[in-house]
Formats: sequence, structure tokens, C-alpha cells
Amino acid sequence: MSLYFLYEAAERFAALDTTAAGRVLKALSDVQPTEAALKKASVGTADSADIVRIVKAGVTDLWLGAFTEHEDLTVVSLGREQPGTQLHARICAIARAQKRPTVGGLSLTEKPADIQDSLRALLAEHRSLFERARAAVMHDIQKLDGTIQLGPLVKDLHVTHGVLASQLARSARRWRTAQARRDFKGVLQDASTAPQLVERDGQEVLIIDRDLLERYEQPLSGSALAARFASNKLSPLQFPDEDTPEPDPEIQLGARS
Amino acid sequence: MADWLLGPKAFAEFVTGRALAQNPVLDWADTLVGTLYVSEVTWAYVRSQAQQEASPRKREEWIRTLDEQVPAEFGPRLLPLQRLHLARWSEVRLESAPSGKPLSVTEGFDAAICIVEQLGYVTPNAYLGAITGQPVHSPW
Repeated sequence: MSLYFLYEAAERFAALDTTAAGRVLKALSDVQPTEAALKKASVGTADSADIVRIVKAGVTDLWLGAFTEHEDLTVVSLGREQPGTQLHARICAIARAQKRPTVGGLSLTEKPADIQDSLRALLAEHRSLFERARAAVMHDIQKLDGTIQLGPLVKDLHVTHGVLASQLARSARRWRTAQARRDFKGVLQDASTAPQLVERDGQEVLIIDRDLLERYEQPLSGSALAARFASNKLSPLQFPDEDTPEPDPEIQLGARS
Repeated sequence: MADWLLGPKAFAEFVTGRALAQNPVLDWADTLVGTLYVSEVTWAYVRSQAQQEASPRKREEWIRTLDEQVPAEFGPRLLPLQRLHLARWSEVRLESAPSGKPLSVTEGFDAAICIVEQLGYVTPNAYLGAITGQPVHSPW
């Protein structure tokens, strides 16, 4: 089961007196997922929320998740928030966050005051993170100038010099010498679709088709790649799962099994 | 956004070529300045779909294309899974579609790759944009 606390709910919870916080935690422990789906305020969790994991979502939001082996999703809203749209925004922020440190494991059976303390610390840290992130974003916007931020693997492909060997080795199929000797024809044949790396006395010998090597040195653009596949005439495949696109995002409140 | 990761449906149509009376994926890719990527997970998923092709000749054509032409043309843009992707996937797989269905395994891995590699995703499922935080494009 996962608990999604709206940010405002987390703030409100942190500010409650211990008795009220205890009541909320009890509600979270008692309410069944199906009931939670019907309730708007103070909604709860399933039967065995043993571990509450608090995860910082990064730039703008906070996500608190309680995980057990169950797969239910319960949204926790303690006020007048609009959980649907806010949770959607929250999930977007969670997804964008490149760093989601876990701040520890809490049990719903722990003292309410302890849980509140953890939440307060997290909220404070989150605010500080948010300020830093906002400053960084402003800085990035100023210097961005049309360039794109790339991830590690893709970045490698944009900086060919010095990384070609590592790219080739990463994509290579590895052979032992005896194996390669037995099936040398196979090694040569496969070298047209992927680099083949033969390990011999601690040395590595790379065999690769010249056309493929050129592709590694100078990958095709999207349009050039499209031209290469345009002349194919394969029979279309069926994808039952994707035939009907999912509707636009709309958050489901309550439990799902 | 200049670079895109092809989802399973987009990748299959891209590889199908002009056998389709209309191929919106190829039409869109024709106009691209940036580059296209596909994950090895998606490649494997499409290969699995191809295995189910009833006609042996068509099945062979698909398998040969996927095993030979795709790696040769995509080269290093056929992306392998790395630990960074898997770490992100361990979080992404907890997300679900608007209908409440969990993400498919392929979509989950692709979403993780999009997040780590900062790639847009070509898919009919617009909600994946909310999960990856990256642009989603549907050429259909």
C-alpha cells in the first residue's frame, strides 16, 4: 500500500497537537482501502502499514509513501485540498526529481510526536531544498541558451571522442578464445550487428563490421534513420495493450488492487 | 527537446516501414532534426510480439530485421539498461496509469530511461509524461 500525503496535509499533520495526530494515525491504520476510496478527508490505509517511507520529491513537492507488500494507493487529504489535480502535479514533480532520498523508516505504530518530528524535519529540509532548486533553475534558465541537459548514456553519444571504445565494449558480445575459434564464422557474422569482443590472454580483441563502426562514430539523425527503414515492408504487429490509449491523467483516489 | 525514445508501438511501426498505407511514426521521424533511440527492453518486447506472428515467413522477416538491421542502423542508440536506470525504475514501477493499471514492464523501464537520459517518449499514452517529467509525443 502507498500513502500519498498532499503537501498541505503533511504540513497540517505536522502542526497538529499530539492527540489529534494520534487520531489521524489511528484512522490511517484502521480504515480499509475501499472505505478510503469513498472518503474525502482524513482517509486511511489498509490493515498492515508497517513501514512508512518518507520520500522527498525534489523541486516543489513532498511525497510520503507507506509501503507494504500490498499495491493499494491511498491519498491522504486532511483539509479542503483538491486531491486529484494536486496529486497529479505532485506525481509530475516526483517524476522530475532526480534525487529522492529516503529519510528513514517509520512505523504507524510509533509515537505520533516522533512521526510529527520527522515530518517537521523533512518539511524544513524540503523548504531549503526548494529554495536552492529554485535558485538553480533560475541560474540554469539564464545560461541554458538552447542547450539540452543530457543523461549519462546519451551524453556519451554526444561526445564521441574518447568514449567510442567504452561504447563499443559496452555493446559488445564477449567470447572466450576457444569459443571464438570454434565458431569464427559466427563471430564474423555477428560483427555486422554488434561489436564482438574476444578475450585472449588478458587482452581484448574487438571485431566490428566497418559500416557498424561508422554508425558508432557518426550515428544517424532521426530523419536519416527513418529513410533507412522506409523501404521495409514488414507486416504490422498487433499491440493489444497499447491499441487503446489510456485517457489523460486523472488521479484515482483510494485503493486499487 | 531534440531526442526521443521510441516506445514499443512507435518502434514497431518505425521498423515496419512503408508497408503500412499510412505510417505516422515514419512521417514524423522524417521531419526530425534530433535523434531517435530505442531501449533494448522495447527491442526485446517487439521481438517477442514478432515471435507470435502466425506466418513463418513474416515471423522470419521480423526477427531478421530486429536482429540484424536494427542493431546495425541504431548502433549505440539501441540503449542497454544500466544500474542508474534500474534505480529509477524501482521508483517508477510504483506509479500507475490513470485507469489504475500498473505500468507495463516495458513502459516502466522506458520511463526510467527517459528520466535518466532526459529523452522524450514516443507513445500513445500521454499520461507517461506526468511520470517521466519529460515530453511525450504521439504521432498517431
